[in-house]
Amino acid sequence: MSEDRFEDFLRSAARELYHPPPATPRDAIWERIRAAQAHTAQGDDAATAPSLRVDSRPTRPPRGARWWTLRGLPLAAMLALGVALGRLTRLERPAGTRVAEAPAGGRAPAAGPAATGPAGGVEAGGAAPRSATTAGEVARSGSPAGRGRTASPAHAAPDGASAEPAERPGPAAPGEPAEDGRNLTLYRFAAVQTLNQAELLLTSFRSEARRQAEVDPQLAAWARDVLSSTRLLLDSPAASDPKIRGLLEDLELVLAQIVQLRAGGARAEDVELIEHALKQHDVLPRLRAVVPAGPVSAGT
Amino acid sequence: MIARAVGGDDQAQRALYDAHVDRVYRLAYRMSGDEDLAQDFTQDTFIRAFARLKEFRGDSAFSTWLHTVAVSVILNGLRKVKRLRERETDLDDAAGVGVVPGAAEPDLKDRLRRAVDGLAEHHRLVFVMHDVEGFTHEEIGQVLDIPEGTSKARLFRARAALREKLADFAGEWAT
Repeated sequence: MSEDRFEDFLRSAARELYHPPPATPRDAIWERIRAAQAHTAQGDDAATAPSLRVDSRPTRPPRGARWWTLRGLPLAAMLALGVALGRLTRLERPAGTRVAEAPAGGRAPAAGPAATGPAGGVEAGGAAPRSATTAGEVARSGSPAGRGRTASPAHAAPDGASAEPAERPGPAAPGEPAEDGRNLTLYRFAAVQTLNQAELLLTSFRSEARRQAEVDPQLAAWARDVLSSTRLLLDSPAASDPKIRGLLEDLELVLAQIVQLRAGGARAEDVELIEHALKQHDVLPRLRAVVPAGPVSAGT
Repeated sequence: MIARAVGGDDQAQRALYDAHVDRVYRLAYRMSGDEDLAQDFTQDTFIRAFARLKEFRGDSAFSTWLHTVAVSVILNGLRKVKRLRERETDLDDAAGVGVVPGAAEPDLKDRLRRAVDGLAEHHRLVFVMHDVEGFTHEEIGQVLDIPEGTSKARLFRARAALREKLADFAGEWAT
C-alpha cells in the first residue's frame, strides 16, 4: 500500500516539479533545422562523411589543472605531426618541384600560431632538415583553394614580421594530388580534433556566460589557440570540403569575437552578440553534425 | 509521408516534425533541465533523423526510431556537458571553493531534482521516460535496445533510490 502511494506521489511530484518543460518553441527550432540543413546542403551530407567520424572524446586532464589550457596539447601535437609529415613528404619530392623557401637567413617568414601554442612551440620541431617550414606550409602542401587571407594578429610573427606566407598556394604540381591523398586523412583527423575542441569550447563558453555573464580569461586564451588552429586548417587541404570550409569560416568569426572579449570587462552585449552569431550560423549543431560523440551505450 | 520526407519534401518533413517535436523536446528538457540544451538536442535529433531517414526500414514505429536518435543525441550531449562541469568542479575544488554541505534545508522541488539528477544515467533515463513522460516499458525497451524486464528493473531501482533519498517527505505519501 505504502509502495503504491509512494509511486503515485513520486510520479505526480516528478511530473510537476522535475524540470517541467515550457511550451515547445516549434517554429524557432524548425527555422534552425532548416538553416542547418541549408548549410549542410552546400557540402556533403554530414551522414556521408565517414572519414570524419572518429571517437574524439577528450582525455581527462590532471585534477586541478587549468584544463582548458591543456586542451590545446593534443591539438598542437596533431598539427605538429602534420607539419612534420609535410616536411618529410616535401623532402621526398623530386628536384625541381616547387617548394616554398624561407628568406635568406633561414628564419621562417611567419611563426604561425601553432608555434606559440600551448604545447610550448610546435615549431620547436625545427630539428627537421628544412627551416623554411612554417605552420602555413601545412596549407601549401596541396590546398587547391587558397584563401588569399590577410594577416591577422594571431598570425603575426613575434617580431612583427609579415604574417603572410612566402608563397600562396598555386595549382598543384604533377604528383601532388597523390601526395595530398596520403595526407588528407591526417588533415581530416586534425580537423576533427580542432572541431571537437571548438565544440567543447563553445559549449563551455555558453555555460560560463550564462552562469556569470563574464568570461574567464583562460577561456579566451583557449579560444585563441583554437582560433589559430582553425586558421591553419582553413589554409590546409582539410578546407577543400565546402562543408568543412564553411563551418571553419563561421567558427573563425565566432572565435575571433570570443578572443576579443576583455578579461573581466566583457560586456553583456558582447556576449549576447556572440550567442547570437552562434545561433544565427548554427555553429554548434553543425559542429556536432561533423564531429559526433562516441557511440551511445544507453543499454548498459 | 516518410518516403516523401526521404526525398526532401519540405512539407512532409515539417509534418513529421510537428507530429513528434513536442515529445522529443519534452524528453530533452526533462533530461537536461536547460532550455538552450533542450533546443539544441531537439534540433540535432531532427537534423540527424532527416539525414538518416533512408536508414529507417519500418521495423519499428517511426516514433521509436526517432526517439532512439533523440536518446543518442541527448545522452552524448549531456556527457559532454557533464565532463565540462566536472572539470570546472575540479578546478573549484583545487582552489578550495566548494559547496558547503548541510546548507539550508531545500524544499521538495530542490530535493527531488537533486535526487533524480543523482541517479545513475540509465536509471534516470528510464525513470524520466516512464514515470515522468509516460513511455511504456515496451517503448523504452525498443528505444534503448534492452529487454522490457531490464527497463522494469531499472525503474524499480530508480524508485528505490529515490524513496531512500526522499525519506524526509514520507509524510506526504504515507497519509
